Amino acid sequence: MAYGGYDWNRRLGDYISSVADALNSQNGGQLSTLISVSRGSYCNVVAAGLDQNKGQDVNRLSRQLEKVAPLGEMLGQHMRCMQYFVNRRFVDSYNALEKSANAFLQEFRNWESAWAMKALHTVAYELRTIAEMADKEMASNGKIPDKLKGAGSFLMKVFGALAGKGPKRVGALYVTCQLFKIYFKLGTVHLCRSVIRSIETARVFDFEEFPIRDRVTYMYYTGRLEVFNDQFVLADQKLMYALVHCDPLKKNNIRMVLKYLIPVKLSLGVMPSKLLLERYGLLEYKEVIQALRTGDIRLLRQALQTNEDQFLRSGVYLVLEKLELQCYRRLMRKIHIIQKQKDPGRAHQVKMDCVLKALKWLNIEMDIDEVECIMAILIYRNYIKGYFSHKSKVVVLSKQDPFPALTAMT
Amino acid sequence: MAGVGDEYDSRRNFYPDPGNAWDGQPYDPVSQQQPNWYSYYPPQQLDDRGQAGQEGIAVPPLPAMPPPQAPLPPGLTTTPTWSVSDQGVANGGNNTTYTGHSSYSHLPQQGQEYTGYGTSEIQQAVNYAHPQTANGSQPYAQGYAGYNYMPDQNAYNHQGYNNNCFQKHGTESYTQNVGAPYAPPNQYQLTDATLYASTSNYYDLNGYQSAGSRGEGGQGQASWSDPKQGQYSYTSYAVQNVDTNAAYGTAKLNPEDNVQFAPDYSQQWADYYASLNAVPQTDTESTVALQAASSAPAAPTPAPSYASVVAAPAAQQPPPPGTAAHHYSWQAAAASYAVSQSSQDSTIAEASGAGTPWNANANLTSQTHWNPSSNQTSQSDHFNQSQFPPLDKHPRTPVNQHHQQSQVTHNLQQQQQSKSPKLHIVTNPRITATIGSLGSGKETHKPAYISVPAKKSSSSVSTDAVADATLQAESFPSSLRTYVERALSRCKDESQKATCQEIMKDMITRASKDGTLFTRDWDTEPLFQLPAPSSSSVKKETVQHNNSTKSEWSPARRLKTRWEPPATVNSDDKPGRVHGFHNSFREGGHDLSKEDSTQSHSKWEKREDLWIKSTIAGNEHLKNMSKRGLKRLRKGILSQGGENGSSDSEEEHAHGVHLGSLSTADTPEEKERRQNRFKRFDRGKDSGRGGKGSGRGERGPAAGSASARRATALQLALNSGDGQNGRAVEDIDWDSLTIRGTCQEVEKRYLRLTSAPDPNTVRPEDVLKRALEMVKSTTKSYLFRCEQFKSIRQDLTVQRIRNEFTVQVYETHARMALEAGDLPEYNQCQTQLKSLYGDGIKGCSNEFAAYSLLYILFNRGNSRDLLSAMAKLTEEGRKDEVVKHALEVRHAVAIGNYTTFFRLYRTAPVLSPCLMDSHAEKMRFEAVKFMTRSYRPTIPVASVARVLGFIIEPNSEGENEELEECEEWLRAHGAYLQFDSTISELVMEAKKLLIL
Repeated sequence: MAYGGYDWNRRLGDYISSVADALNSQNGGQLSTLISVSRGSYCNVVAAGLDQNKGQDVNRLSRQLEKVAPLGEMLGQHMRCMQYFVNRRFVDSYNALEKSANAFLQEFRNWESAWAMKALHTVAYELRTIAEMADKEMASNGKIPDKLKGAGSFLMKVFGALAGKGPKRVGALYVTCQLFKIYFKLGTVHLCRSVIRSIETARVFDFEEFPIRDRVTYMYYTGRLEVFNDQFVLADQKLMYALVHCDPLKKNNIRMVLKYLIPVKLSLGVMPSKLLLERYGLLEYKEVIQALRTGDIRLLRQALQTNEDQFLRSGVYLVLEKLELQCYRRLMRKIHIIQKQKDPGRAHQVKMDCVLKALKWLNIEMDIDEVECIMAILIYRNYIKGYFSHKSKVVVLSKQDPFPALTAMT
Repeated sequence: MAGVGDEYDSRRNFYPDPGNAWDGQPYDPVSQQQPNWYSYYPPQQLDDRGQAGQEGIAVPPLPAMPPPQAPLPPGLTTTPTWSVSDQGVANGGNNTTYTGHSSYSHLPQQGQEYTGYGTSEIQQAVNYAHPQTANGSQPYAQGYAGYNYMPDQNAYNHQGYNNNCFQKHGTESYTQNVGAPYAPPNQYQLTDATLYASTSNYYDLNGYQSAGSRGEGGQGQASWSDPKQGQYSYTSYAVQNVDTNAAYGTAKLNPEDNVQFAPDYSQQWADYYASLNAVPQTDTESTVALQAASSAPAAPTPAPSYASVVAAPAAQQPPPPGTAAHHYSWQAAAASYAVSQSSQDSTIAEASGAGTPWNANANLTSQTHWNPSSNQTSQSDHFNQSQFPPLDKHPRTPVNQHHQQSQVTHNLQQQQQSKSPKLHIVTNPRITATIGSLGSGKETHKPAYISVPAKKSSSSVSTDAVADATLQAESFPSSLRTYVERALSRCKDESQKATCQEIMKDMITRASKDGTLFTRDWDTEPLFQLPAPSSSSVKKETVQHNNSTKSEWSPARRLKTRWEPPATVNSDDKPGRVHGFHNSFREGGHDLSKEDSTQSHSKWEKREDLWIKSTIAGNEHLKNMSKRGLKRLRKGILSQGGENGSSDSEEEHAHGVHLGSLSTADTPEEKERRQNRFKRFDRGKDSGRGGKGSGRGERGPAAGSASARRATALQLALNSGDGQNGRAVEDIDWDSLTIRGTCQEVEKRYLRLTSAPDPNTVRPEDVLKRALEMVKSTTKSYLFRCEQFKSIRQDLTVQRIRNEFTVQVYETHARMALEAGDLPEYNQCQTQLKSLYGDGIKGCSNEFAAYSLLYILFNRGNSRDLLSAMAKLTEEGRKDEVVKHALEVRHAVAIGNYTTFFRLYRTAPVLSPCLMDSHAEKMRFEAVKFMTRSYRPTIPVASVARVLGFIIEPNSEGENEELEECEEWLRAHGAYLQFDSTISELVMEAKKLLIL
């Protein structure tokens, strides 16, 4: 036991020395690895060491901690955070981490260069990750989880330390992305706006200079925000950026982007290939796309109903729902084509009876007023070129390009 | 992994956390203690301690005493204003004393006082009343009573004032009473003039019950705890008024009105009296008390004799001369208040009409009314001093008498000076007759009499007295003073007290002999064995003491924050403040100050003494009152239910005195005061713990401690901001902080709380149920109902009632708000309902889920909110008709399908149409935009009207009208309409709308 205790003490000493080395050599990568909690190998070593130490050799430890001079306090807290983490006391772990991060951030501010950027990013990542775990723990204990929120406000501080001019700015986007993750998780997406403004309005730093990883993540989240705002064109741009720049090997990331990009593209009139859906496992859109292709309103409604939960959660339900108008358009187009085949001379006049019949065939109960209304909307939105005659209950289609391409409309 | 955790935990038991070595913070004992610290002294106390820490300050350092006590701006020194305001201080102190006596510093307690008056209070009054005194002043008693009975619009005014208090300050309004002494002059003016106006607009004369709802708490308590509730009903109702009210009433009575209303009043009084009779054996006593009370104010008229008599009883009272007299006069004051109150109430009950501005006479009455009390204050002060016999070089009794004399004389002078020719109105025969009949015989012939020393004592004498007091008090550590206080407050009666004093005398002598007087920690010194009372009762007392200290600070503090510049007591603004106190207590007094130009500078000095004394005295009052409170508590447990709750509030009043007098203390002593405050803190921390432990069984202490604990919790919550005490906040036992309301009033005005709620103003659930029924059935305006709902909601919230009734309240309010189109209010309810349903409490959750959907859809336009609202719908919920409808509406809006929308609008269930209303107009406009863009060449207006929901039922009688309405609407929105002769119908041309 005595020997074992000594052994663990030695290991702790080694760990602290490594941190000191990383600090002295300004090796951000090494420091980052050393202080990683949730995905680092040192975490278990430190935790076990502290568990074994049992506070017996406190003086020795604190003496050792002096080696890492300005970060002694930070490392002390950080080691405790690791210990708590390994022991699955996430709330305590988070609390310790926040103190550690605070100390670290203060030192980081003082450093001229951005050598420790990687370590700071690790801290930001751990803050978010452990805060999520802490929130789960708190929720299961019947307390109101607030750690993730706390992490959010702390990361805003970190962002503030990075967002200015200078070499540190390059790390700001990473923190922004961590903030996005927190805000999306907490459902406080309105808080994203200030961060976005800071990133996008600052002309001192070209967006392309940020690391590609962060840019993709950033574009993914801002694209999602545009979906919420019904800004499909902007959403399309951002999500496409994310898709194009995303590492092609990161299939899951691509899938996440596509999950939002497909509905956006659909509402812009672009259909994905079946292959794409199959490759990225997005089959929930299959029926929707089928319905759009055939003008089968019933199928569209069914597809929406079947996957309602999923669509609601991901937030694309309302986007998909609006595809119904496209579906009506497709139906009209089909009727038009059929009429053209029968009687090309009068094909541009689509009688309401026809439409009603088609809808009835689809088991959709609608009366003439409603169909009139739909026609008015379609014409108003330029889905159909033409006009509606109330008197004769006929949609008179334009003779030239009665169904303009949706992609051209916007 | 869990195993690891367990192992770790077990290890933790053995070893201190290693982290401690590195970072003391999370385990910092200080930071952990902090909650405790605050838990016994809510934040407000910090402020009020200053005023409350009177033990130390009560007696200012001798050398500095005269000048700093009254640093007057030169201009004010000689003005009558000052002298009157000076008196105001005394009055202020008295007032609080009185209120303390009456149980709480705010109106509700009035009720208790009232009942108490019929029971033990009276008993006490009788006990203390000197027979001689009781006999002497019969005519005056009547006169005074009659005077008080005179109803006046002004009286109502003050009701109005109270309303305003309540309206503006909510639960804190009792603050107004307690804290009144600190209020700057303009406070009352404000409330009176401006606020009242608005209130009276809102509530008509008959509506003042709700206005007086502050009082309802107390009234409720009284009737509640009293088995004879029915009989008391009227009484308690009448008692709603605030004590200040009563004071005001007294001050502003108008003789003419009196004549006019006397008969009415007598009827009321008879009612009241009848109710008193219901309590066996109390009527006689009460009448006596009444007389005693009335004798006090009446005294000035027969000044000489009156003066001569007082000295006698004071001196004759055997053991502590001061106390007896004190009690007596106090009692009298209280009783007279009761009288004035009841009169006031009856006045209001009669909704007395024409208001005449009160006159000097009235003012005088109020003053005289109070003066005996101020005597008492000073006496008690002396009594306090007499507790330190060893160092008392002066014979005790003489000092007391000196003191008393000087003060009384002083008062007398004032009275004489301010005596107005109208004073004889007091003996208005009609009223006298009324009273006589009311007094029903024998008791009436036992006139109360307050004697006042006839000879004028010189101001130097009184200064001496003060000096003595100063000397004495100074020579003891304040902890000793509190110790003595503690010890004495255990005493049940005079003999016991005397014994106690003897014991303590020995103790102190011994202590001073062996030099431990200043070194000993008196705060922790155990109390000696008391012959009769058990140790538990002592404990109870301490608890109570602390509780009351806590709970009553907030008002004063709030007062300050609301009305005054930051709490620092500037010597410069002291006159103003003093004036304010006076003013706040009795406007009449203020008026008097203007009229009474005869007062001279020399008197001022005397008054200053008086003032000092009263300052000193507050301390003693506190003690006396806590003792009395304890007594009453014990009694209450035994028999009188009505007594029960009053004890702690009485204490609060005791503290009110404290505050009142202390706030007048001088700036030079600020430092000392702070020290004392600190000391008290330490002490309070210890005893406060006891308070926390006290059960809810005894309502008095529990109520106090509950609010204190709540304050603690709030403080903790505040502290949690820095993250250090985060855990402590989580660990707060909110259940133990929950209060139980005692207010029985069905109606209550809403006021946003700014401090811990006061149980006396919070209605319990059963009352709230009645309140809900009332609001449901009332035909009053939405504003009224909304306010009532808000107050119900507040009461539910502060009592943490979350059950189906809560849901019912919120649902009802939400529906009502929807009907009235009050969407913000609706949204508040909706938010609460969401959380209530989330807790699994049953209600119309589906209906409100539907409303919520529609609300988000139409009012927020945030697709994310809408999505989450939809995601929350349960499978079962989706089948609900209202939800289904809401979802369909949502779909129609998403697509822009106006036809469907207006169909759904027409068929909307329950209150959905209320929510759709806001969007209908928008939808119509969109629709017309669509139509004019799509239709060619024209659309018949009839068709538009049908589709856009103008025509509710085709081919019905009203169709033409509806068509016209549609036509009008279309024209108003820029449509081109023309008559199509081919179909002989009005059509809308498919042109771009004029306004686009």
